[in-house]
Amino acid sequence: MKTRNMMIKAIPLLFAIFAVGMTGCSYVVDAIEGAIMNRSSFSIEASYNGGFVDISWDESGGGEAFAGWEIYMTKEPDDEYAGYAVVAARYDLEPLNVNIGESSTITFVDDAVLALGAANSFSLNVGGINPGDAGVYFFRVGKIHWDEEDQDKRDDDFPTWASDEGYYEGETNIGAISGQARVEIP
Amino acid sequence: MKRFVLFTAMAGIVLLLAAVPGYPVAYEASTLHNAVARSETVQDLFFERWEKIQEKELYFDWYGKLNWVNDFKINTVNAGSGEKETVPMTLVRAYGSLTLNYPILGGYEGKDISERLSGKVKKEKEEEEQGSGPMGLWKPKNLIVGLTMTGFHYGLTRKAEIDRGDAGNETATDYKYAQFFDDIFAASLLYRPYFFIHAGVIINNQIEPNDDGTMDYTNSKDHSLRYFIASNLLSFLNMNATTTKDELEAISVGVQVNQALASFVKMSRYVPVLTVTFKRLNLYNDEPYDAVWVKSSAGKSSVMDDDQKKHAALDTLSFLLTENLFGHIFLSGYIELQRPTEKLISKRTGEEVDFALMREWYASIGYNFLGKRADREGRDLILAVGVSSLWDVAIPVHRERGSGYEMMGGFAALTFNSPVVGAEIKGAYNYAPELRKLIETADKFMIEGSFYVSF
Repeated sequence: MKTRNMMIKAIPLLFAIFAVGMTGCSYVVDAIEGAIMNRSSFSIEASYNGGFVDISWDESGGGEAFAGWEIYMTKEPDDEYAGYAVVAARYDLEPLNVNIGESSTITFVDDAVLALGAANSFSLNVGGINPGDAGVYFFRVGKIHWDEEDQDKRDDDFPTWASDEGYYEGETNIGAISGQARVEIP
Repeated sequence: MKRFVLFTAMAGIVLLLAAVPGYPVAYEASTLHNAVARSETVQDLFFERWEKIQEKELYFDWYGKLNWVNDFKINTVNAGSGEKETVPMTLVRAYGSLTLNYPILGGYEGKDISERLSGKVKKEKEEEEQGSGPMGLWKPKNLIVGLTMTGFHYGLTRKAEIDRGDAGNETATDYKYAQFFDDIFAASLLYRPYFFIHAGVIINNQIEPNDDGTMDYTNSKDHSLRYFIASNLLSFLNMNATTTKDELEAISVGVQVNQALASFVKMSRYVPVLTVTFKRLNLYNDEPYDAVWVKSSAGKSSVMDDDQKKHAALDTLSFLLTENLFGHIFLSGYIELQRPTEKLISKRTGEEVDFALMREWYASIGYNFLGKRADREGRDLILAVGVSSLWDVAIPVHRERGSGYEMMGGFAALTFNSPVVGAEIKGAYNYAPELRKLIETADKFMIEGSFYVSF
């Protein structure tokens, strides 16, 4: 009877575990693999308007782990598979202008708005792109997380973490990243 | 002996690494779309896991496996330039399984769950040990019901490099092309040693990702259902069947020879365990992704109506030998013979395919560094290597070097087992049991990690 009682007590817990998995095991393991490999998980919209690229997203920020938003664009024109460079963030991650294409530069933007979880749009000045580098570029938005997600531990380890650029640069990671948005820059 | 095993393992690893392809060849998706073959794969994984569950007498089992094949060269249109180019992508395969077993009566072989958790074995009364009725059939010591969910995701992904300036570099990945999700939901009844039975549904789902590389799980493009039943009688006779709504798709009958003979003769524990299995699988169906046409190629195309399609099955007869030598050395050998039920015409050559008699063989050896006593207690640290050969009609479509329908390969793996947790890391190149899961991985190196929690 002891066994039976133990199992009866355990049944709700076991079935709760099972119910979690009932969302579909292949989907759960895909989500785990996606988290390990930083799979793009939300969509953004981007369009060119008179020297600016306007980017917007619905993904929400905030929470203890949230450290800010970052904007990325491909380094080469007309290449979906080119690498991305950060072009805007809450801190100045690039002391110099960001080199794009053969001879263009984008002025890096450090904007405190990108520290806000509620932020959901950004306009990037792309006037520095020369006619020779005109073409299709791809943009992404990164949701940045603190490596130490517990705020109390951050307070203990590095009390000035909230306003320290070096701490942001060394102790954050891309918690979630958007899919790519295609923009033609004339 | 240790030196020999270590040398063999090292040689295997060197050979595997040396065999990484050196030049790009365009890839065209084909058998990845074959839900019949994928259903067989996910069922094989289900059975493989259930063998462990029964062998280790588990009530709870969670198992996960991630597998990456990095060398897929895809002919694709670059959305930036609008031009077609060959782009390297990664094939991701993620597998998960969750099983819960509930002992309605007793438990496994005199060890009920309270004994399992406390580590103390209760003294049983004589009548509890023997049950009642012939062979204790009418009052069994155990009756266990189980629920299992097993799933397999396949899909291509593409890595993007992200330069975060002073914050360092990171990578992200996007879904590319169709993603395939195959899930089994099954119920089991175990009435050991007389029989066990699994019955369930297999859900094959194909999802198209969004153009931006993200994916919505609800955006199903193709969806199909299959049903399966798998049973074992008297611990030696296996009978399995898979059906769609309309037809029987696969059937197999297997005999565990040692168990069958054990009822009549006393067998030494060192006699290798032999399992013989006959299987019929409706594998060829004139689908666009098949490598062959059934009966004739006349008038056939990739856009023909379903009622014009012909069907053929592949009959196989396999022999599996396994041996555990003193808890130190594990050996296994396998051969599978084949015969198609109809004439098959190659889509590449237009000629009838001359099927080889031998579809697959493999041999593997594993060495347990922890030894016999640890093995008895469920603890192992095993280094294993193996070699194999597979013959398949789709191999010429996907191979990157050489020619013909046959491919040799091998694997190396390091496995750690304990009573509650375990893990494995494995590398393989054209190893037949892996290659037959997805023939598109021909001539590509795969790396795989797996982990389990069970009790």
